[in-house]
Amino acid sequence: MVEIRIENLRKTFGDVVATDEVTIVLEEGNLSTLLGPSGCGKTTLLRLIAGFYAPDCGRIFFDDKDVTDTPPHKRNTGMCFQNYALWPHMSVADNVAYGLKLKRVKGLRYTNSAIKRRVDEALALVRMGDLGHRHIHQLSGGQQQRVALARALVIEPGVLLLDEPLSNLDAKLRIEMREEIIRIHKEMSITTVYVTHDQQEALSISDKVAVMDHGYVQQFATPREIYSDPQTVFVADFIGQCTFLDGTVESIGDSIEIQLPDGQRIKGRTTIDGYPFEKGESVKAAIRPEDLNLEATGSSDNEIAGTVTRTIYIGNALEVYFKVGQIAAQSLLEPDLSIKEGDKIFLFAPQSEVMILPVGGVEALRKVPGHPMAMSEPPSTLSHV
Amino acid sequence: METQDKDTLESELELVPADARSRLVGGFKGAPSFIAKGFVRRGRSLASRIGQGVRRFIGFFRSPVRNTGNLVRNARVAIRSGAGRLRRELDALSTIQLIAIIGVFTVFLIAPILSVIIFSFTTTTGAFTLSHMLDLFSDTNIWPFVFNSSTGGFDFRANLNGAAYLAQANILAIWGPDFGAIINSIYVAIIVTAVSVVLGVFFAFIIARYEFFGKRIVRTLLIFPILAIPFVGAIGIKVFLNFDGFINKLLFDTLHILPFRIWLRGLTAIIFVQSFSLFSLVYLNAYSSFMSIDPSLEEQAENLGATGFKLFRSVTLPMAMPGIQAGAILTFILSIEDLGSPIVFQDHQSARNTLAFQVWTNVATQSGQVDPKGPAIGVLLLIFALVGFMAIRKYTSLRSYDSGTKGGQWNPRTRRISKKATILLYAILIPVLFLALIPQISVIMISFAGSWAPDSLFPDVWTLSNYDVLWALPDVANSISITLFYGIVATVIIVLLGSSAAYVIARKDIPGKTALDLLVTSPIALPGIVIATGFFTLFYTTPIFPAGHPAFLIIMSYSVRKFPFTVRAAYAGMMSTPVVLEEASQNLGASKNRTFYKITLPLIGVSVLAGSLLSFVYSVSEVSTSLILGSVGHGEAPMTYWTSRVLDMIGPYGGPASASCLGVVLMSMQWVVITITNKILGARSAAITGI
Repeated sequence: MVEIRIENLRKTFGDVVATDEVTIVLEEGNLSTLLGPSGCGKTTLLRLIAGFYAPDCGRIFFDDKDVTDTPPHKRNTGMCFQNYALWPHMSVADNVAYGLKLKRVKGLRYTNSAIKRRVDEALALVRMGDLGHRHIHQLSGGQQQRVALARALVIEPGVLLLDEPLSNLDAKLRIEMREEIIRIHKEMSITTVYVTHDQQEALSISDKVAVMDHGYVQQFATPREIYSDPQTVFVADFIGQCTFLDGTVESIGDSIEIQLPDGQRIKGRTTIDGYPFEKGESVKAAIRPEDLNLEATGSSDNEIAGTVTRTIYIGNALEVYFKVGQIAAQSLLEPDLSIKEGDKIFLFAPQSEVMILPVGGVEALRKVPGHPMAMSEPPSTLSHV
Repeated sequence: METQDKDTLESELELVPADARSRLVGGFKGAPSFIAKGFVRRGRSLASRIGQGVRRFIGFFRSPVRNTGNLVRNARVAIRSGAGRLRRELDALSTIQLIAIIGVFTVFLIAPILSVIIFSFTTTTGAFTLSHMLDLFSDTNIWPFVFNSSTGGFDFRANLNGAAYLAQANILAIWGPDFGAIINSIYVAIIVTAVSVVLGVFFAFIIARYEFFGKRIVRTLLIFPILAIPFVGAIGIKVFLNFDGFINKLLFDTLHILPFRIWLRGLTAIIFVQSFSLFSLVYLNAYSSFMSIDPSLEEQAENLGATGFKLFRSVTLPMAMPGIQAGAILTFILSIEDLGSPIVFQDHQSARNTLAFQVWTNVATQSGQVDPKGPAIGVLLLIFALVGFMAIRKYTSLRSYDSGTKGGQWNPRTRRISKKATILLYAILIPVLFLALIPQISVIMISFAGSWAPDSLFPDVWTLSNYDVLWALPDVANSISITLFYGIVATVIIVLLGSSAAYVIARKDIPGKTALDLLVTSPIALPGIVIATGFFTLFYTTPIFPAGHPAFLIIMSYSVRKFPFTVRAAYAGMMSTPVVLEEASQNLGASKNRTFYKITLPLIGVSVLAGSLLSFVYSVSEVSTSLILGSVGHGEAPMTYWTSRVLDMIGPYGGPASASCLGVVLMSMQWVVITITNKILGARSAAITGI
């Protein structure tokens, strides 16, 4: 098993920064997800780990071995490509056997019978046991996906790399294959890096999630932490739903008090340990819709007043859209309430559920002592390659 | 991992030593890489030394002027990252191949061309002079505006009389006004290009968008005119277009459509021959472009209400324009450079006043002595070629975006047309195809013709005896086998270097890649006569070109000049093969070389095959360098040279009939190859034209 350590990694294409200042440790045996919208640099990061790109600066370690300059074929990674990349001129079994024929263990090669046995095992593992003789074009999308997975797994790679493996499948098959990947990962407990843009997929299968945007890792934590303690506005917005209320810091104590543009004051907590809030600093208060209630749960609850703009009945709940001053907000209330457009409503949010976030995004994280972003040098120009 | 491996070793007999055979093979494979490593190491140390030098150079300059310092620092970064990229992208084998490619092209393409340029700007003692160039402009065969020292003005001396009616024989002879070689070549090329674009785009659109009876045959027939460019065909055309030729017999004597006989001579004949041969270039490029338009783009336009001609003009044509323009420019260049047709029609002065012919008469002398006028005209040709080539590359690079859309079902937009429309279509197709295929048809007919009475439409006697020329003349018989030999050797060289050149261009990220791409595809546009002239000025009477023995240079000139066809075809194959297929292989532990042999080559194999077949047929039917180099060594001269000799010879084995037999041999070879290639390349058939 392999631990992947990435230090201050940066990759540019011409003037475009694809990924920058990435410093994370992917623990051995974990399934870590790179999550983000398209163009955020997640696939670039995966291909850097696989060795198809050379970084402009920074290092990549597999355990203690620096693999930054190792060519892809010597890294012992198994990769599943987004479009599977199965060779059309070989049968299923030949595709899977390819890597084994090349593999040398201490200078020894596998016997033909050993190769055959392992190919059969790998195909059985992905439940494709009896289709080894088929040609690639005779397979359905889901089957191709399984063959690609078998081909990557059969060489017993130190690291399994999956590039949006489910994006080409239909909804039902996607859930099926997701379960399959979780099962296989549990069975083999192999260090796995999984790229996806689907937040639900990421939360449901990962040990840890790296949320990426504009080339930066915004937060790298467990799914629970990502949801309950987002470190940046982007993360809070991308994972789940959130209402953001602009404000300025009024006072800092056990909780942080901020003032909204229309004069209301609310209190909340910080999600970033050690972030030095200052009085008068612009911040955003992030509240999840399900944390806004009609009744107070305690005396310290925030009270937020607004005007209802729209309600949507979704069966088990009522989505209420309202305005706080000029800011659009959203809450999830009991389904059988009779609230309608134009009504004034008063909602309560517990202080522990109001998240006060600095507006600077990853730049703000540089102020946190001990945070990886605080350690790395901010890029001055592109020419300091 | 360690302990696991040990367990594996002990518990299962799954692992065996890589056996003797594979070790032996590995050893053989290792040898070249061992040799190469030396080169690479030396190259690297050279690169790093250059890097150091640059750095020191910068250190000197940086402090005085800050701006220059910055500038140079950027250059240093560029060089260092360039060297780094070279190191990462190139392994031993590709380094050797790259060096070989650049070496061959430097010696056999760049050096000869430079030598022609230098030759035309120096006196016999080696001093710089413009007199050779200026002399051209006082020669009325080349330039019509001649400086008159007595009046101080320019006299205009051109033969504007382009046609004559010979009353006693009732013949209208047309040869076109003669303005001297420069203007002649340009106006001929312009007319040829215009005709070719109209015909080419028309046919391409029909074939790309309509489904009709016999389409497959028509598709293949449309490529034939490009073959035998247009030397051999011109022989047949000449006999057909003569005042007593087939066309006149058909339209004047038999059908009585014409009030007089028409006799195409000189420049007019050249225009006719070239138009009906070169339009295939435009056709192939336009067809590829039409086929690569994402159907949804046209469907979207239709959805918004554009139909018929509006749709064609607003979406289809603009999308196909890069391909059409590239084909048109190539037509223009090849028309100017064509040597075959002027030679065939040289009985009229105006045909002799063309650029290509002028180079030829001044270079291909029996003595091997080069008249400086030849190279000087060659420089003019070169300018046209280079400007045109850069324009082509601009347009073909634009073409790359047209297949950029992805997703969705790619249903080609072909429509079946009604019976009535099919008949109408064939009413246009048949005459044009007939005119376009006259070269082929006539050559075949002439080759089988025995006695042919002046007033009969077809030969009186069909005979095989003309084919005696193939074995009766030892030189001719020899030239056939020798031509095949040249073609095969050249093709082997081309495939070895060309597939790796295509691989480097398509897949590697090295500095100077664009320059390499330009270098290996430029021979498509560079005039063969200029290259051959360069061989004379540079290599004549050196060991690689001893007097009377041009064989080696003929092979090398074929290799260089027909290189683009293989590169382009292989490149096209590579572009349609997703790069992830190769990455997947590397990811599983295959080295770059192994990936190339196991994954890339099998996938693009047919494309390389198609390209090499093209390179082969174009080699064996090559005209311009063959004629010039062959003229100094008859014994080693290729078939095309002997075809032209046989045409001029008098005696039992001389004349058009015997020359046609040689032409038929060449053509049958080409037909087979082109039919196969066209099938392999399909919609990517633009590669047949080399661009």
